[in-house]
Amino acid sequence: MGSELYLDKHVDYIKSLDKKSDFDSVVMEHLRMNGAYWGLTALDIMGRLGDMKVDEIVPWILMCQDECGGFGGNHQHDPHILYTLSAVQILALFDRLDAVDADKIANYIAGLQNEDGSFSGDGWGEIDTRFSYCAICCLSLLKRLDRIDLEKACNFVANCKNFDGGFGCVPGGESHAGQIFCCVGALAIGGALHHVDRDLLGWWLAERQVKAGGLNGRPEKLPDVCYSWWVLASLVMMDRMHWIDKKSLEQFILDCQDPEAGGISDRPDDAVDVFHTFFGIAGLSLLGYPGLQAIDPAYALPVTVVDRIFYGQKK
Amino acid sequence: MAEEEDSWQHGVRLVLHLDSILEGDPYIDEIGFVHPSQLESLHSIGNFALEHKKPFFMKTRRKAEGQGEADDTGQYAEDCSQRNEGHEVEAEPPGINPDQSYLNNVQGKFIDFSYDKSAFWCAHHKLAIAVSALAPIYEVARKEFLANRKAHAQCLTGTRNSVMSPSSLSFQLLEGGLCNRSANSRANGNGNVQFQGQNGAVHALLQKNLMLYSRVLVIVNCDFASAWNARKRVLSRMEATEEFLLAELRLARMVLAYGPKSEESWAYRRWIIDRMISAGLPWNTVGSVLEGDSMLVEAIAGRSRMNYRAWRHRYWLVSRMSLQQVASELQNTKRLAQLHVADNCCFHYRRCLLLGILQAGLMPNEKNVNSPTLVASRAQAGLSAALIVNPQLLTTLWKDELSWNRDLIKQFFGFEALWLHRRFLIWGFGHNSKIFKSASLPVVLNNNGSTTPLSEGGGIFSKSSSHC
Repeated sequence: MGSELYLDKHVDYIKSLDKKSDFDSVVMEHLRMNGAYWGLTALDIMGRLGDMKVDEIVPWILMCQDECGGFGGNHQHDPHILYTLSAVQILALFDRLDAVDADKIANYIAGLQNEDGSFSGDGWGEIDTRFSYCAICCLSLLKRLDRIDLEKACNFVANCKNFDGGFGCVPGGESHAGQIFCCVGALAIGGALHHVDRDLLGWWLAERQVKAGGLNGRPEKLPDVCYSWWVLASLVMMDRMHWIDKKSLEQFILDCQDPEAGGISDRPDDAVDVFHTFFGIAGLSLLGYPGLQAIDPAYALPVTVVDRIFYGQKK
Repeated sequence: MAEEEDSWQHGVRLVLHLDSILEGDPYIDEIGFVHPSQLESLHSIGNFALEHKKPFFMKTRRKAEGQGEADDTGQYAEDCSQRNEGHEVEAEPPGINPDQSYLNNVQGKFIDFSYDKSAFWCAHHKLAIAVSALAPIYEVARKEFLANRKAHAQCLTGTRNSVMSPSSLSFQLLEGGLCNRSANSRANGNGNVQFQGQNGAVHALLQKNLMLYSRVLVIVNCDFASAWNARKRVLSRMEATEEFLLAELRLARMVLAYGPKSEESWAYRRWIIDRMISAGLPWNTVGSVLEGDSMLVEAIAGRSRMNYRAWRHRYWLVSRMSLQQVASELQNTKRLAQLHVADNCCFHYRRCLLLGILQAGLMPNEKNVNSPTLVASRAQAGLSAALIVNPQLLTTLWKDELSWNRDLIKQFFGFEALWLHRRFLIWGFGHNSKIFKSASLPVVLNNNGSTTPLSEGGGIFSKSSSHC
């Protein structure tokens, strides 16, 4: 396996994805917006976003917007808060937030907030803390956090805290590293990180590291590269990254690469995909791996992009 | 044979056959995608006996070309992305899905027409689809779904005499008489079908098409959310009969058989159940649906270990259950937890149940809004009343759980899930002193030799104490 990052291979892998037409790829069309975010952000962290044609991508994104303001996973797919966040994130990457009507998107998201502060994913009512994160992160990038009841939103997230310090998808939901990232991220961006018991949760998160160095997402599960992001970013936001063994995690991620075809898989020797490629690269960036752009742990975007939005220089 | 048709026609034929099979046997409860050669062997076997208590289709973990068989470690893998798990399965002899009680009194209709045997196999309420058929089916279903959805939306906004510019499939359906034919439809000279007369007839046809294609779509791609949404839209506009809603639950169950982590499918079940409740369906029906769903999760969790989505659904059910059901769930899942001591999901579920009972004990008359426990209207009889009369009941339950946990730890030392459960139980004592005030609680040994009951703020991490 070795201990180098096959950066060029991963770039080529990501660029090859769009041309795939086998059934397993076609059947992912409903979440292409997410896939685009994963691939493009990974490219940006590797310093290769310039290889992509922004003039083709931005119009496609706009085509995915529904008249209600939300974005679908692809053209002609129903809008959902998950894809709305990804769309805004991609536009932020390209510094093209001017291409959308931010108020319209903000209204869509605000309309999804419920009485108890939670957010539904779409008009059909499913509630999940992932959607709270999408709402808060997206509105923050659009600088329209004032459109929702932020305090209620953060209180709902706080209500999803469990006895072990972790967070689930709804109040009483099992602690899960992915949900924890969403909750900690939402509270961080929302300015309510005081709800997090950093020592207690930090301990639970640190326990996710297995002997081989990888991180799992829940007790007794196998390690998976995507948790290099969910767990690590949470620890960074809580200032507890030093509670895990960074060297062995780094080695685990590198072991998950496909040195020939490029791309990263969930664990060594499995098939690669763009999801794990992104989270592997993002995890390495958080660990300070040389040659990669820094990534913001809360917004999951390159730090330069976040800085541009909040402290930014105009184009 | 198939090579003679162009691929669109081939797909059209497959979609029609699939729809006919589904109409022919409304009680199909398992679907699997198999290699064409496996399909052949299924067709060549004579009479099946439903002997094995295994699910019909065993899933194998997807590996890249040239890599070995999936090992057991695949069972505990996390499904972090929303991708399908892949379509290679082995066709095992038919097994019994544990939750088939509804089949006892039901006669499945016979599949008495011929269907493409190189693409499908259907018997004993099990359906196998050849992997090679999926792409053509998907292509046709997707295109037809989108076209019909657009036309349906236009119809709803009141466009009269809409000329439906049809794909060939809808035209075939009309010709084949497989759908409600508008009495006033006719083909005009250039091949477009023009509907005159009432919008209602067009609407009915489009709605029927929508339900047809969306059903095919979700079977082939269970996370195609827009297809599930279209069904919700149609169902929202019609009278919610028990039969209809139960049929929708069967569809979701079918899909979950091969896609047990499909969040869209679980969410669909929740929407249907809530629809049942809001439509005022009899409590007996709802109660047995809840029980059925709980068993479904258990069956699925048996072969898809620590499936977060499945278990999440199960504790959502708790919020709609009566107290009696909650108490019996607690009893019933004890054995399951003992069999899977590494399964944190199972213990977490017990924590939800215990918290639910605790909640009822603390606030027997209060409506629950935020908590994942009991809907007020259900929290009336049974255990709640018993708790008021005998508060010790809750303490007994809790202590029983604690000592059962201790025995498991002694037997299976080192399992994180067991220790996590123990921390919860002790935390529960500490945080609910109102209920647990009793001299017979576990105590904490302090450094100076004295003891403090656990209910009195002895923190698990406090420096002056150690566990009993």
